[in-house]
Amino acid sequence: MLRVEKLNYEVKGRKLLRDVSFQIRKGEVLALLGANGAGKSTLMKLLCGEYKPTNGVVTLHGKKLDSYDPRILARGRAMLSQQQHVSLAFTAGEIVMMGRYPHFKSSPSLTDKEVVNEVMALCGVDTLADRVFMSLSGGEQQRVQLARTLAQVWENPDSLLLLDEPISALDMHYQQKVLAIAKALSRKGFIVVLVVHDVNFAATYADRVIMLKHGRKLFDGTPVEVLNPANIYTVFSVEASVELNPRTLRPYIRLEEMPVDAFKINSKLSTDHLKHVPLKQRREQLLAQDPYLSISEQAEVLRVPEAELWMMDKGRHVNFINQSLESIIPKLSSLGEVSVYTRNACCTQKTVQQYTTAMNDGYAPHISTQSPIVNALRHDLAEWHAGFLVKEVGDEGLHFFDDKGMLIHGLQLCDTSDRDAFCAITAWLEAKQDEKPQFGPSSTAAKHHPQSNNPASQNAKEEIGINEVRKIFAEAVANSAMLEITTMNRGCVHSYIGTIKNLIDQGFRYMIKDDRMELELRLPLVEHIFRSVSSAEEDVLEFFDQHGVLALRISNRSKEKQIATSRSVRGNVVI
Amino acid sequence: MSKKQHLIITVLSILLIITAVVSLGLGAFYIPVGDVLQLIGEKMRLLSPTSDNALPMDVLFVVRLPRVMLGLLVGAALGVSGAAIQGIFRNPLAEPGLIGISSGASLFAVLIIAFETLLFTKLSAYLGYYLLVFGAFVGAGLTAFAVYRIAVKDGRPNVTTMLLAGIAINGFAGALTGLMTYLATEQQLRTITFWMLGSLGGATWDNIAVVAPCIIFPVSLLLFFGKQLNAFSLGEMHADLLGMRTDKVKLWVVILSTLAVGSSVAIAGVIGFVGLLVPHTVRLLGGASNRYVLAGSLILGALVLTLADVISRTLIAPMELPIGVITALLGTPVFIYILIKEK
Repeated sequence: MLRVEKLNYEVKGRKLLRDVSFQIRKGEVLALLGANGAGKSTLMKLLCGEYKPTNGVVTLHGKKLDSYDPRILARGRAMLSQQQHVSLAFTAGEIVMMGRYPHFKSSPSLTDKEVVNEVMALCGVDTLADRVFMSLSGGEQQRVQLARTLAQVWENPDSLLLLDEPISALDMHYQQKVLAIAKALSRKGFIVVLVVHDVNFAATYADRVIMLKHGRKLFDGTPVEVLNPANIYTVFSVEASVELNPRTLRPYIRLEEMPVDAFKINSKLSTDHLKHVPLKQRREQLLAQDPYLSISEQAEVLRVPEAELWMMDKGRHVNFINQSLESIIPKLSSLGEVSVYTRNACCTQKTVQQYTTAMNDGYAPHISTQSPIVNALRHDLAEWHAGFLVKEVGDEGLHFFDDKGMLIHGLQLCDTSDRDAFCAITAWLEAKQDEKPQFGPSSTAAKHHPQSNNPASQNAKEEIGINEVRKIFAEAVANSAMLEITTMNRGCVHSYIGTIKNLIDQGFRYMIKDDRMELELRLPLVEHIFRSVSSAEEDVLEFFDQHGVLALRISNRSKEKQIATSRSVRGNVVI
Repeated sequence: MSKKQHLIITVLSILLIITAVVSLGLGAFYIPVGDVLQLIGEKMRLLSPTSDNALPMDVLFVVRLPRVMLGLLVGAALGVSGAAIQGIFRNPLAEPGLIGISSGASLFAVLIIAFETLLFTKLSAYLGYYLLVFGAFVGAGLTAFAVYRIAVKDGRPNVTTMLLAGIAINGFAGALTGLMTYLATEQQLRTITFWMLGSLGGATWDNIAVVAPCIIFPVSLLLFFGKQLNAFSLGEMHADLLGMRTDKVKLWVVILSTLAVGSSVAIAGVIGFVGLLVPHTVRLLGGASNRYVLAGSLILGALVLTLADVISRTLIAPMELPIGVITALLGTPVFIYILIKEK
């Protein structure tokens, strides 16, 4: 058994490994995963005894690694490292025989020669025995070194076999074969620890996976337990989807293409020629590369107003809302309950609501209401530029855009909506025959919203990380805390007051998904998160996008407010 | 060792014996090979003495034999240490000179020559020629120790630092040696120059008696480091993982090489290129396995130096060329040829 307890390793004050503990039994294959520089190779060198830990101990079969006699240890522990340079002109056969050095004094025994022949045949390098090592190809060199490593511990069933990126230079066949050999040896009793970069190989061949980040052990468990999209995103910052192979019951990880925008990369090369290609064609090319891009992401990459892509999609089933924008809004209350959403760069908030007109000031800009309701929508119609109505069956709804063509607000019919009222609105709008709206070029530059520099309250603010946010959400769910969640953009402020139940963490996407309320947070686009706690025990989280614009505000409701809200019966949106 | 390597060693050994015997007869006073064998037979009382052989007998046993013996010893020392140092530094271009052994030895020798009349008269009266030998040996040991200390980090010597430190110490010792040549008198300058280019001319039975154990002992021990040096070529970490005590191996190889090379520099001056070229050639002939390379370098080193000495004392006989000049003149083209061919 290999036991690692509170392992720390430090070089010149840099902590390369912190508090890593785990243990592996005989017959197990452990795969170490992590980004470059996460500490995998450092851990391997500590496991083989080459590095001495700053703190902590490594014990192999109950005995401390550094109390072994080096020669005895060499017969029960072998390592293949990434560095494979051989300085002088040794032949492959001589190199493999070096693996047997701990076993003989001056000349190799018959057993040594047999072992060398066996492992060389297994690794497919028996025909290369007389070739000079440095003249071999990278993959052949790697296999020769693997053969040497195997030869070292070949007949010892209690061996610890450490393979640091054993397949980095190999072709498909040998990548599989080498891992299969490692697994087969583990079934004979070896403890195998390997570093691989391909998560699918780890999923297929390992019994156990440990994921490292910044020198810490983050996740540890069987491939099924550990290899999920959230963990993969946390460790590698890569979006992936995971399916369970129904036959092997092992996870299969499919990686999404990472989009890099040709417009944003390499400032030295012009992208003018890309702009002359028709939008439709550019969009098709983009979708061919990455079919999973959302419309707003497409618009950002293509640098066109989002609204244009919406219209392109909806085809003939669309009516424009342009001149009659202001007069259509009061009609929305007739639709009954609809699914209302508000969107900005970082998040989308969705609630099931009915629109109502405000009691006092109708639908003038900046309507604010303090009436005790669960949901509220305040809006600034001056920022609403145009919209369109989609009448395609199953996708009926209205969508509103600002003057740059950014989607700011919209609604979609749900089961409880009044479809007759929708037909009436459609007929009314068709009679109006609005013109096709024009949008200005989409600009990603901030207008000037110095909100992040200008704290809303005088309370002490601290910037926090997303992991703390996860914790806060989890606590809120556990305590059934009353939260006020407000998503805002230039055109509207959309609030929800109530408890939350379902949290979905997809790594790059964090979601609250309840029956009447959904919030989807796109974490990579959140630039800053501030937390401030006031004297009245009000705890406020503020999320800012990349331009320093406040996108989302979440606060816990103080007790008086909770009493006030508890009186409300049903949610509605005040226009 | 493979069959091919055994064959190479055997052929080299036979060549060495022939060369050594033939070279006994060559020089300012020529003795034919047959006479050489005859004289040796007489000396060993295997053959009955013939008349009128007092002079060739004296030349052979007082002048030539010690000289050839010294050539064999120094050549073997340079060859084997070269092979060991290249193995330990995992660099085919390393040689004993590179870690400061030779330059340290020559610096101390030059210091002694330059300041002999001033400071060392008393000592020199007691030790005579041995003062120079002793000084050179101390110099070699000190520089090797300094280089080793500089390279030790966290209790273990770092090979790259060791090479760099060697280069630095070489530069420093070279500068000091150069400075000494300005202070030396005309006569001293001649001695210094001749000594720095190397010569086997100082060979006497007394010298050999002092130097032989200092060379034979470390050289024969170094021959047993074949396996360890092979493991080193995988990188120190892998040598460690194969159960070698790499720190001890490094320390011992440096100590033994210093002893062998320091002793040979002390008695024969600085003879360049042998430590670099001989192991390289041996490797080209029969492969890199260090058991073979060490043994082969021993024989080829002795062979090369014996040949070079023959040339140095016959080319402009009765005068002598410094042997370092011969090895460099012959070695450089061979080395360049090897470099081009390997490219």
